[in-house]
Amino acid sequence: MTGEHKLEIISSDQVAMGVFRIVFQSAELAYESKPGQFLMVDCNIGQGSNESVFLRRPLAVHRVDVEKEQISILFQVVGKGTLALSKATAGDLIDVIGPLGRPIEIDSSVENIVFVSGGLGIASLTSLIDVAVGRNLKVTLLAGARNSYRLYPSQLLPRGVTEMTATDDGSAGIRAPVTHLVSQVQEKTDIIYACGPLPMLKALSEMAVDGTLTVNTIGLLESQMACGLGICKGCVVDTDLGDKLICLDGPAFDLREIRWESQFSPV
Amino acid sequence: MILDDFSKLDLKIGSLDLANPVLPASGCFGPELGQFTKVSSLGAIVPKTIFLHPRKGNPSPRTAEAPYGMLNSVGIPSKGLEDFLENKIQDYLSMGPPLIVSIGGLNVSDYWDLAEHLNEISHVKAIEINVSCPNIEEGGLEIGSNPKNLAKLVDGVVNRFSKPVITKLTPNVTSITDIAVAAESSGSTAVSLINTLAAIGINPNGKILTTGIGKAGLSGPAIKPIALKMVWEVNKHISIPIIGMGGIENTKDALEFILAGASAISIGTANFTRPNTMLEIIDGLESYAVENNLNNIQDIRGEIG
Ligand SMILES: Cc1cc2nc3c(=O)[nH]c(=O)nc-3n(C[C@H](O)[C@H](O)[C@H](O)COP(=O)(O)OP(=O)(O)OC[C@H]3O[C@@H](n4cnc5c(N)ncnc54)[C@H](O)[C@@H]3O)c2cc1C
Ligand SMILES: Cc1cc2nc3c(=O)[nH]c(=O)nc-3n(C[C@H](O)[C@H](O)[C@H](O)COP(=O)(O)O)c2cc1C
Ligand code: FES
Repeated sequence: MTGEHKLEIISSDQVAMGVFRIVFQSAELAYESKPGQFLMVDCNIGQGSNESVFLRRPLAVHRVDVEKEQISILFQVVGKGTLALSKATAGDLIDVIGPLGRPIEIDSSVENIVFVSGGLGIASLTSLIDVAVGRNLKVTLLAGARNSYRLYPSQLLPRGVTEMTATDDGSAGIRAPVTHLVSQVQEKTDIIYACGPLPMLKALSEMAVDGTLTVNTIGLLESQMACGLGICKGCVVDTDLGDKLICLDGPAFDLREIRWESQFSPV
Repeated sequence: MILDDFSKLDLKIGSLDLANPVLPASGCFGPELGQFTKVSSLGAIVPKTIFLHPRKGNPSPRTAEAPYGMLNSVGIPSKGLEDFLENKIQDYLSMGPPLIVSIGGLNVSDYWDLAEHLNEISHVKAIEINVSCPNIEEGGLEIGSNPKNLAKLVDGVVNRFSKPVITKLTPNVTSITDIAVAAESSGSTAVSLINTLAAIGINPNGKILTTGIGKAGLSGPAIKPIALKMVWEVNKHISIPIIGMGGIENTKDALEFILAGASAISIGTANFTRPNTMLEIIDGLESYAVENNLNNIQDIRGEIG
């Protein structure tokens, strides 16, 4: 059940530049967590951790291993919370609340599926990629990052994923925003799932509006979150269906429904 | 100890019977918390402030980290009274404890209309007046920042609502004592304090404010010593009950507020970081009363004069 859990770290490693993966033992969360869901993580770990981190931080359930009864998170160090977490080691206990958010279900009619990841967007998409591959769907991942050192390592992806990459400096794949790859693959695609920085999601929305993107596109949104539970009303997003909460109604939303003009002053 | 068997914690706030003095703070509680904690054990239920008519809140980002606390500029989005009565009240009533409805408004008549409507609803046991709302008739100043305006507001609510009226005070004033005295003399059954402290955050990297509209409210342990001082001070000047809040995270914090003069205490921000906090405090206060041979936890109320 969704609740507060103290999880033991099985392993922690750096998988790309500034990108860490932590694996936890938890039968309960391994059985309960679904793609699209996240945890609110207490980043105050160990003794003598530098600065106190007051609010919990939202981090996606990156992958689930039901057989081993393990789940993992994948995160980029961007501030004090993720920095503290990156210093956690095997045996440490981490307090998390979850799983939270609305699970993503892939429609049974879908055969070809494209994932668009910008930066650490891959963290939230991987468990859905695992499900899609498990169902023998044709899976394409368009992965974008600042440079090759920051890309999620291909060998960690499940077999059967066709990967195309884009980097800002051209050190891997094309030298362009990852959204430029979408036009090459969308013809044979039934649905797109995208997660990444706001400019990337916004660009996809604009492509949907101007007609260059014709496929149904679901975006996983992020926001500052104080509670992750639907209580504080902090993580609001303005949609055609009214104000929605990213933590409760999302994080997955149909990108065509988002009213970008009325929200998100820059973080 | 067996939960639910708390014999040393009950109290009265006017005609309102509470099984214990631990309440959720408005805006920091919702049915969602029921997954994490036993809401039926709370002293009362206090939902987020409602307005008479639907209104949007502020643009994102609405929350930000602060040292030992958080900033919020949520701005009280509300779907209005009608939606509250049709879609939300049942969830709160089914929790069990008495329901205290927090009301807000943009002018005095909004508050009065709400009071009149809510008076008809027998399940609503008390009103909490959130006076930290911008008063459009006064150029957006908080409606509770001036004793005269506040007295007029409270007086009108008390005349329309025959059950207990709690006035929730803003700390963003020169003298919270003057406001508390005005609340008492205009007929409040109790006062609650403090609401969030006006504050901002700046992100030096982006050279931007950390919350969308800039002006935000600070809550959490960072404000506890200030809240404690305000409760302590107000307690010397009024004789109606005080519901104390501001950064309470554990039993020790709760005891400090009771010693400073609070009859009851509310938990806000801690519900986000530790969703079971309120239950832990109920348990902790009962243990304290038993260990110290108190008849009731109220025996130590205001002991620090
Ligand atoms: C549902 C959800 C799932 C997420 N999943 C992941 C994940 O799997 N892996 C991952 O690395 N990150 C994820 N994030 C983003 C992650 O929550 C933030 O990176 C994290 O909170 C930063 O905390 P910090 O203390 O390290 O940084 P802070 O010190 O809080 O902030 C450092 C900088 O990052 C910015 N920032 C903070 N929070 C966010 C945010 N939520 N979105 C965008 N910018 C932010 C701040 O404005 C600041 O500039 C997710 C966010 C959400 C809402
Ligand atoms: C996100 C958030 C939303 C709030 N919303 C309301 C509200 O709608 N009405 C109200 O009277 N107080 C509101 N408050 C103030 C709290 O009820 C409380 O007075 C304040 O946060 C101090 O207590 P704390 O430090 O325990 O949070 C809100 C506080 C927060 C953090
Ligand atoms: S983070 Fe609090 S409502 Fe979504």
